[in-house]
Amino acid sequence: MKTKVVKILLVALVFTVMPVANVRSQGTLSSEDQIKQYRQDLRALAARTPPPEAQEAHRKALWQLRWQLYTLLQQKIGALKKDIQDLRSSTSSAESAEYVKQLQSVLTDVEAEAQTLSRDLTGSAPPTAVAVAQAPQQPPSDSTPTPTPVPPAESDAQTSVLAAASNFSAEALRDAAAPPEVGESELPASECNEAGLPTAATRSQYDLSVCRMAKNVITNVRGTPRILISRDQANLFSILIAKLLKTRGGESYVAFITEAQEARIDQQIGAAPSTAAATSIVSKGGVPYLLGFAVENGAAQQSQNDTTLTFRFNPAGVIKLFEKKGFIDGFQETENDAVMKVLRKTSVGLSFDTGRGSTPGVFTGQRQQLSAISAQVEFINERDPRNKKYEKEWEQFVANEGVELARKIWASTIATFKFSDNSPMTFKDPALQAWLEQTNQLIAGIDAGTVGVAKINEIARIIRKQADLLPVNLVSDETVASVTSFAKQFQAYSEKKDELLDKIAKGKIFSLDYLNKREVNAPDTSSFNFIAATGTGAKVDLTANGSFTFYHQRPAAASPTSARPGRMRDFQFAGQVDVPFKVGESQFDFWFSGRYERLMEDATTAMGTTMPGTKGDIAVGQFGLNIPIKSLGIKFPVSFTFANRTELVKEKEIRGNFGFTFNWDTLFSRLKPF
Amino acid sequence: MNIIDFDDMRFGGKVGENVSVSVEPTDTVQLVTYTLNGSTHALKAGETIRFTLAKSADGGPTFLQMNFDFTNDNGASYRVGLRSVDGEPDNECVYAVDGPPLAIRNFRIFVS
Repeated sequence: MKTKVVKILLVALVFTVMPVANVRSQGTLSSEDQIKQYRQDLRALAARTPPPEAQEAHRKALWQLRWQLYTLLQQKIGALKKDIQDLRSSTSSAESAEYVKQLQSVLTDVEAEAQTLSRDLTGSAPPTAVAVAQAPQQPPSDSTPTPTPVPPAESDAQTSVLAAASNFSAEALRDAAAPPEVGESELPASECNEAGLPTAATRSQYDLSVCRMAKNVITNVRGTPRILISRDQANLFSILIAKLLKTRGGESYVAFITEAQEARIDQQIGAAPSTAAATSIVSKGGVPYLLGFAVENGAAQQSQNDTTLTFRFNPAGVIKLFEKKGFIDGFQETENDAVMKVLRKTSVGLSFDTGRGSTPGVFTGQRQQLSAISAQVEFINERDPRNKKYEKEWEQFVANEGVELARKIWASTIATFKFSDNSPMTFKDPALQAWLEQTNQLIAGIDAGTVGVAKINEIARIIRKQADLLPVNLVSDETVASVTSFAKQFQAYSEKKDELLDKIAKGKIFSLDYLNKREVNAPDTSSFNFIAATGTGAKVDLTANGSFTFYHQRPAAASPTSARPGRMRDFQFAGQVDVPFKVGESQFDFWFSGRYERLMEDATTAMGTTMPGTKGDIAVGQFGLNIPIKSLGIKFPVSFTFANRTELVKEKEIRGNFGFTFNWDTLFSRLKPF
Repeated sequence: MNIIDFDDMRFGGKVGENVSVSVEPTDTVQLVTYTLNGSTHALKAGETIRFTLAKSADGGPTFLQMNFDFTNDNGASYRVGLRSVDGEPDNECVYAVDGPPLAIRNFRIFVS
């Protein structure tokens, strides 16, 4: 008996090590040579009938060879298609056409071979016994039984995995998880909103996946709310990358999934620059979707300190809001409505000076506190990815990077899941399937009274907790390899997509700002500000403004003997350069700007008094930094302003400003007050 | 076709039956690819996936894997319609695929 066991182990070892040895010995081979080698090995192995004791090892070796060959063939298919596409678009001679025809014929053959392999792989059983045997020894425990070794699967049925998965107790799965200091997330978990998106302004792919999966579980379902591989495969892959690859190699892909994403820099969230409390002296193009809210302290342009609250909103979004539509529903319906399409290109801002009114320092929202009304209309916006201008580039992106990723997804699907039976898809790894079953049981246990966004967040909490307990030590090498392969391609795909989005983010914007400043005693003013913005080839955003301001009524003369000022108050030009950069996972924005202003008439104070001798030229320079506070959706802007004079005082001034801007969309999405 | 499990995207169909799958994006550029029984393609805006059901050699289902990506960080969606499905309004079985992030949907049709 002992001899027999040793014999089986030896045979299993030979078959287990063989593909690895093959790969190592082929380190210097070209892809084509590797394909030939795998074909040859596959034929040789398939021709042999293994003894009953070594059938599992034989099947495992066959599966691995087929998968390696399938992966290489997919790469070859991609290269062939690219060649054919490139040649078709760049050559026209009969000779090249003949060559393309030949390439097409090769492509057909390779695709047929890949499809055969795909069918064989789908019909293959997983190397489950080996997966368990490879798991590290667990510390002995009285209360935690050792996982029962899983018998080799007899068929491809998902039911065999389910049966094997039922062997794992909760304790066994927990013992196979990575240690807490490795498995648990380092970043604070973001809440999810009702749309299934993280509420934090900076969010990772992992955050996105957790919130999306939580939302999927309860949305558009006709049966029991649960995680389904058929629907949630991409999100499950994100969890596997973040948790499995963190402990089982491929760590370079973990940061890609877990690091926070960059934020756009073309939205005007704060107060318009000529209001009392603005920290920037240049208006920027771009309309935030629903409602921008900012509270900023300090003064960039006037010699007074106060607190201004600015509400900046998109009329289309607000109309839908008052129709009591959901956050995303409202946005979607604007696409089909011509009037709403125009309104979507418009934003309106209301600034409230809390220093005014009957209770200074307290925001009451009363008319007396309304210090400015602003509106912005976009004429040109090349920063929308849906712009016709980018159609061809997106098509090419999907045809190349998209299809390449799709092939990898399919290869990873075959390697990771079972799906041939008429029942829900399962992981091939029984431990992962047991983990999924356990997660679904926890979701099923959520109190029936928990609904809406609270339920999404409760499911997200369960998913995060379970993700930290992923039984990484019981996952087979094949699954690790397939997840790594997907992660690699997904990263390459995302980088290409980001390149395109970065290019679009540097597109032109041309818009018009209107600002009505409502003074307490001085005459009200109206300003028209033309804004043009574009990016450069590098990661720099350029914005230019040109504006003029007039009084609604002529101000009073400074003295009975002096002439009354005219209606035209000033004109000005300004420019700003934004340079976004990253420190660790945080996105900072550095900017520097300059403004020239010609005061056509003497300035008037807030009390309505005209200050004689104040008309003339004003030059202002500014540099600043937007410091992000992760997960809170808050940016903390700090700026320093240098001026040859202020409007009221003809003396040099240096001033430091600070404040914070908050994206109201984030808060609204979380609270949904209507 | 008939629905076996809507949530799990499992359907039943007969040999020779024609199937069409249409996709409509909202608030995103259409970034859709699909793999039908192991063969991968891009799906351009306005295109429809059409195929005829046949029994596979291994008795497995017709497998349509669709991948959806998004260009709008603030949320976007696709409307995916499968025809012709018995018992559904206008014989169209509709799924909403929301994102971001990237979404994968696996449709399986068991042919008898």
